[in-house]
Amino acid sequence: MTKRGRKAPRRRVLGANWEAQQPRRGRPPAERPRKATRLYLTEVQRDHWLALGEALAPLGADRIDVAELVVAYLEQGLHEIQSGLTGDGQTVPVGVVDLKSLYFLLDLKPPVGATSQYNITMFTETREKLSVMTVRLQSVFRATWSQVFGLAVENMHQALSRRRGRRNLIDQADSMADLREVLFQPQQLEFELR
Amino acid sequence: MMSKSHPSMSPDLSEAEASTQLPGWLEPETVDYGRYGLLQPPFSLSTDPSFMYLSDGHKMGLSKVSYMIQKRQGLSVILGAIGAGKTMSGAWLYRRYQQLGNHRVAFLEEAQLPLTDRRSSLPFLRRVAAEFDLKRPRSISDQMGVLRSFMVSSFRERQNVVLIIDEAQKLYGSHLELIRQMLNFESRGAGKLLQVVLIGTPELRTVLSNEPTLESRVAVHAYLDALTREDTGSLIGFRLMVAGRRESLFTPAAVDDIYLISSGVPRQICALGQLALIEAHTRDANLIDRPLVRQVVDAYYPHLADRLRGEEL
Repeated sequence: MTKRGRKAPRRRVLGANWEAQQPRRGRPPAERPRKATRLYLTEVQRDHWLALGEALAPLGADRIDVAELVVAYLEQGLHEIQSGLTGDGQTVPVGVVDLKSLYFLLDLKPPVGATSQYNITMFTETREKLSVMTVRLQSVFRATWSQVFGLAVENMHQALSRRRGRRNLIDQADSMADLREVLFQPQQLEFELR
Repeated sequence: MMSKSHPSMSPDLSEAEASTQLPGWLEPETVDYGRYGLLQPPFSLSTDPSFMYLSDGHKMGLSKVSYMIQKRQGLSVILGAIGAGKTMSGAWLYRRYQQLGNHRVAFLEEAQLPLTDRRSSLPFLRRVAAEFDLKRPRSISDQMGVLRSFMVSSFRERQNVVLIIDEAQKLYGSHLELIRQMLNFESRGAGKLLQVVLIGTPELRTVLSNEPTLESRVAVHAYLDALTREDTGSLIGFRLMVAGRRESLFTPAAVDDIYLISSGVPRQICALGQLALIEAHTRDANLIDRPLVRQVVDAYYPHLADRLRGEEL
């Protein structure tokens, strides 16, 4: 009996076992939880996103892996910027007054043009990382998820384009693990002197 | 009615560039700013960082310079033509780092550089020490010792020492050598104890090239270019907004003319904007349009009127 005086439902042990043994219908659940994320990207950002997908496909990377890579790479870049700052609790240097300044600091071209909506599937961990970065940048200059993801895409696209010119990084890497090893080496931001 | 042009009232742009002081004919009292919804003069030529409009070029420069300062990378250089906003950028950085609390900042403007015996090293060092409120002994080695102990104690207190020098192209080799020596104060693995920002005209690059040991220490060069047409409009709008006005006061065609005459140099944009505002006030006009700007140009900058040729009135 329950507290309210009603009967508790009977446990259907045999029935439950029978259900568990039945083959499931539809797509089997993914090993790592994932979710489609609605993002607004500019045309250039979308082109770069697609180009990254194509470039990394020979290494066995799905789009979801690419999303994970770009977000992790930006997270490292922001951590690199933040860790060097003398100010406690500062996210960006005082000269970075908006998202555009952050693009300039990373030697990227700021986004131009209208944005369109895209659905990009991400691992839950990737979404969490993106969310943490967004909250951090939102407190400084009201950045949105889409803007931060767009920045991440541009950052990765530039990193691979630069290195490609010298050593053709993607061709040399045998797997995503190799690529990660090179990308996530501790490094300092390099500025091209004009 | 057009205000009469007086020889002393018709400034050559080069003269206007040379001085940051507001000339007598631009006295703020001559305009009833409240009539335009303004609380203060929007186009003052004095260095007030709150009026600093950050164009893309400024954002690019300041983001990298500030990153290098906070990363304790030592020496940064900001270059820009006359009137491009170099001193304003220096003042902006100075104010920002002062507000931050964990930086000890000094802004050495040209006027503060020792006038007597400019080539000598000691007056320069003493000037730097004075900016940080330090003792000023009478020998170079003692003065360097004082500065060094100040930097070390600041580092221990987690304070970053920043020295911003304006008009750095006027520094002598002996001064630059002292800066090089001060930049040698370094903590193991934590970067330089002193961050120096040299601000100057493009001649500064030549000056630095004569001091290769210092030049090789430059972490980042930032360039302040002239503004674009869009930035010119944004600067005018931004200054009006800071001064208290929300609505636009200049028509797009008037902004086009101001851009053509000023070539996108912020100081010239402000000088023209101020003159146009005075003229609008004299004529009791509520909006500054192209004919009004043209009259200002004809009256004060007739030698630049050629730049407007081809633009339809």
